[in-house]
Amino acid sequence: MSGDLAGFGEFVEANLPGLLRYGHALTGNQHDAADLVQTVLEKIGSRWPSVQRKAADPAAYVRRSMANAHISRWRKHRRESLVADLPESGAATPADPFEHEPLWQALKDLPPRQRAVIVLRYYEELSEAEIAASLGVSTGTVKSQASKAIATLRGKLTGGPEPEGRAVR
Amino acid sequence: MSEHGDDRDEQVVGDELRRLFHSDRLPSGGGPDPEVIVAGARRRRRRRAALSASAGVFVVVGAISAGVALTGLGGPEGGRGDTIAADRSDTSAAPRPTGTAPPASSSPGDAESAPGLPEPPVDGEPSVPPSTVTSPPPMTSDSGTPAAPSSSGESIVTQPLDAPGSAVLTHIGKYPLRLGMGYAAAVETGAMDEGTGPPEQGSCKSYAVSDPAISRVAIRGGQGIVRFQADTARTPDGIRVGSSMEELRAAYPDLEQAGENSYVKQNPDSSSRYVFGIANGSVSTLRLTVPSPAATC
Repeated sequence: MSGDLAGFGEFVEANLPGLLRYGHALTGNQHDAADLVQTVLEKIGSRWPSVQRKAADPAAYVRRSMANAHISRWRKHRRESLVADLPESGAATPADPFEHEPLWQALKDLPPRQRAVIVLRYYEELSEAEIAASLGVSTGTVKSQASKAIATLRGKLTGGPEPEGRAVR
Repeated sequence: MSEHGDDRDEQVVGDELRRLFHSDRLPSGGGPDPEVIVAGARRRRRRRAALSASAGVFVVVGAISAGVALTGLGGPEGGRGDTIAADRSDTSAAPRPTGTAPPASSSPGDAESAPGLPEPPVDGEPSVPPSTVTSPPPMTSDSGTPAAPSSSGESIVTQPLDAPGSAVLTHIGKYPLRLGMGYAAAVETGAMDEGTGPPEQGSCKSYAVSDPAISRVAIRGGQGIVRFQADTARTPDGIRVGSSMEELRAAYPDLEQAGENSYVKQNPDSSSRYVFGIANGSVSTLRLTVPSPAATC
């Protein structure tokens, strides 16, 4: 087992910076990105020999897993509850490197599935069919999600009305 | 992707998105230590192995029980049936990871059957009912050593030390939460509240947990869970809030005094430590923390 995980350790060392960047694109902030990367890598690492056998590109496999995990996590976390205690200590939030980028700010407001589609499309450069396969949805869903997302982003960039419902034309 | 002449706009937005996504400003640091990730993967793997092993043991136990029962039912001695009934009763009364464990879900084949879907497919853990899982180390007695098979056969299946329902705060945590476990993973277990979200890098937040034996856990951003605070939980050596100072010293002769009213027990593998607060001659607080005082909250 240790040998297997030694290989996994090397994979993590080599890919962690890139995965953090990708995670940042997916989640919109550094902390969620780090948490997402850690969670997904731990899961995949626990089955590393099998992943290596079956995934032609383990790094791509990890990235697509992160997109799915991000969507799943959002579903769980939107029911937020408060803890009884205040945080025991505080730390300054790192400055948002895209604080003055309207497109980035608009991207952060997208629902996670739309954002995942956008990231897979424009970060990963995947086709609609590949995105559909990665997310386990139909290509029609990918098209509609992408269309809504682009319309929303365009609307926010130009100050125009945001799309509502399904009518994004 | 758009359908009515918005191709140019889409192209513009797409180009802008690519510029953002490939910008050097997208940070690539500030993440977890690779060693922490590898340790987490190892922990998950051990947990799954323990689950598989315990499932196998329980299948054997079940088969033996069934064989004994059949023998008894077919046997000529009138008194035998009562004995068998008692045995079966004992077995069914014990915790039963056996019957409910879904070994198929932990097979590697399931993990990658749906590429790109990390939650059930990559790990399979969410599909495992909490009551069926044992985590490493698979200790089954208060001494912290693997329990020997019972010669009487009355308690072949014992309550694992580190298992659902156990009141023991082991040196790695309290099932299913573990020192070092990240926020998302902890929430995913269903045992910890989501609170106000994950802590920021280097800062701490504390979270309520569903386990009544634990009052709360603290997570430091980038390190995961760094502290458990016990309520009614006890150490593997039986020390809990309310234990006397004498009991504490007897359980831990190598106890170190950390402050006027606090003592520390370093765990053997230096992976963690118990911190006991003392008031009026007895343990008033019990915490399990990461080894470095500076790293905890």
